[in-house]
Amino acid sequence: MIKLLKYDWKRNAGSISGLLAVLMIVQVLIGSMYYTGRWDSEVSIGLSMMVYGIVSTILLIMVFKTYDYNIRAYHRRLLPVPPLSSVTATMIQASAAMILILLLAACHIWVFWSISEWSEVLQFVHVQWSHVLVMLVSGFLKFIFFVAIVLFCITVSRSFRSKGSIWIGILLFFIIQSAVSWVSNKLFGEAPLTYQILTVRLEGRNYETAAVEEVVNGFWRPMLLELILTIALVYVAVKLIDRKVEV
Amino acid sequence: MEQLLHMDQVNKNYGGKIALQNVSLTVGSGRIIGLLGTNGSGKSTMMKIAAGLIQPASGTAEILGRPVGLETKALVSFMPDRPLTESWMKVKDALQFYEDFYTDFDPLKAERMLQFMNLNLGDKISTLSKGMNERLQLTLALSRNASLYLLDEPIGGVDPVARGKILDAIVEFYNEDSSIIISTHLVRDIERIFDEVIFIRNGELVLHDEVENIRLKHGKSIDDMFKEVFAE
Repeated sequence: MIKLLKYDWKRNAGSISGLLAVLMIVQVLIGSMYYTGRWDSEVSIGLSMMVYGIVSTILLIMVFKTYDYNIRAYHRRLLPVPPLSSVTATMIQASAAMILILLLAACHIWVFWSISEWSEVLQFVHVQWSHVLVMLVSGFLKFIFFVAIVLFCITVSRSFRSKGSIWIGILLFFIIQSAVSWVSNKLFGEAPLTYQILTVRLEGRNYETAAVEEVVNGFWRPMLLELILTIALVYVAVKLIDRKVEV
Repeated sequence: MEQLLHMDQVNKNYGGKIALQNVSLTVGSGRIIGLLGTNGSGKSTMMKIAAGLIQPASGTAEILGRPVGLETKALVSFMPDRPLTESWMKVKDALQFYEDFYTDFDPLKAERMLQFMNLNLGDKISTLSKGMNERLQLTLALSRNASLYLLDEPIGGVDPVARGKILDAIVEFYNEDSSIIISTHLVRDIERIFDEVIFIRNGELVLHDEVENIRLKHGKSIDDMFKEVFAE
């Protein structure tokens, strides 16, 4: 699997490096507009977040396109490597891309907060690291579930030889998303949104965060469902690559 | 004689179109076999099934007694009718790719073949001509010590000089314990190297025999026989 990742990286290294270079340049430009007083902090932060969002989306699209290419490429399909390795290698790539962007954004936020007037706000924020941990694990599992759905839909669409098969995949993506959300709501009720874990409650002059048990209890059941579905989607995708995706 | 490839009643359809119909055959070791047929006759489909790229709709395909699948991919070296390399690669990257994934890859053999084919390790694959690219693909396929080699149209679309070089390379670097199946419709250029030929028409095997038997029985060259069988 590491070898598969190596060749995927070599194929995309130029595009990824170029994209990250553009990201840095644009962020520096946005930052300089803020520090020279041409833009206020709201505009700068909004634009900066938008650029991170766009770059993350492009990176993910590149990862998915690589997977789509790999399951149809002769030289990859001929390798004596189990199809599961292709799927997991793509999941690792997608995770690595997101972690990279998050790290860049975290560094950016740290620099921004430490030298802007926002730094004064920080002294009032009391972060419970257990909450952060729950948020990170929950966010990561949600992301992996999303990646599994996309990979499954790509694989299903490539199992058909007809021209419009890509639309089958797109339709399937929305059906699965809606169905999982509906089932999850029916079984476990409304799940809290990830960011709500860090919602700071104001009571008098003290800032309090939600109890970690309360947060975890709201999350673990839907998360378990998504984990089971992730495994099922990967299993079916592997079987389809093996039996149905023809090159 | 060891059974390298065995197909039994293999059928394959693409939508409503029949690609292979009740194909049964056995290929032993130490043979160079011509898989001959016109365009769309089912040659590539047969090779893809043997290589494990596609599944038959019915029937069975086995390599050395094992059902075609993940395990047999390590036993079969397939040179399809499109490149097995990526455009960013140099020749050395393509060799490294094979070395990384195939335990039977022989770097010394690859080096000798590169010299024979006038290829350099530093050549960018995207700048190679069609003929040179075919030479590289053949180098990659034959540099493995596989049990069965499947070469799909190895001389299609290349000039006579490259054609001659490719055929010489097949004979020079062919491992006599293994077998090679070569699909082509350019029979005249290649018939000199065949031990056996298989004629395939509209997805059905119409003839499978030794070249010498065909010449003795019919008093014709393989090229003449091909023209007779496939005359419209």
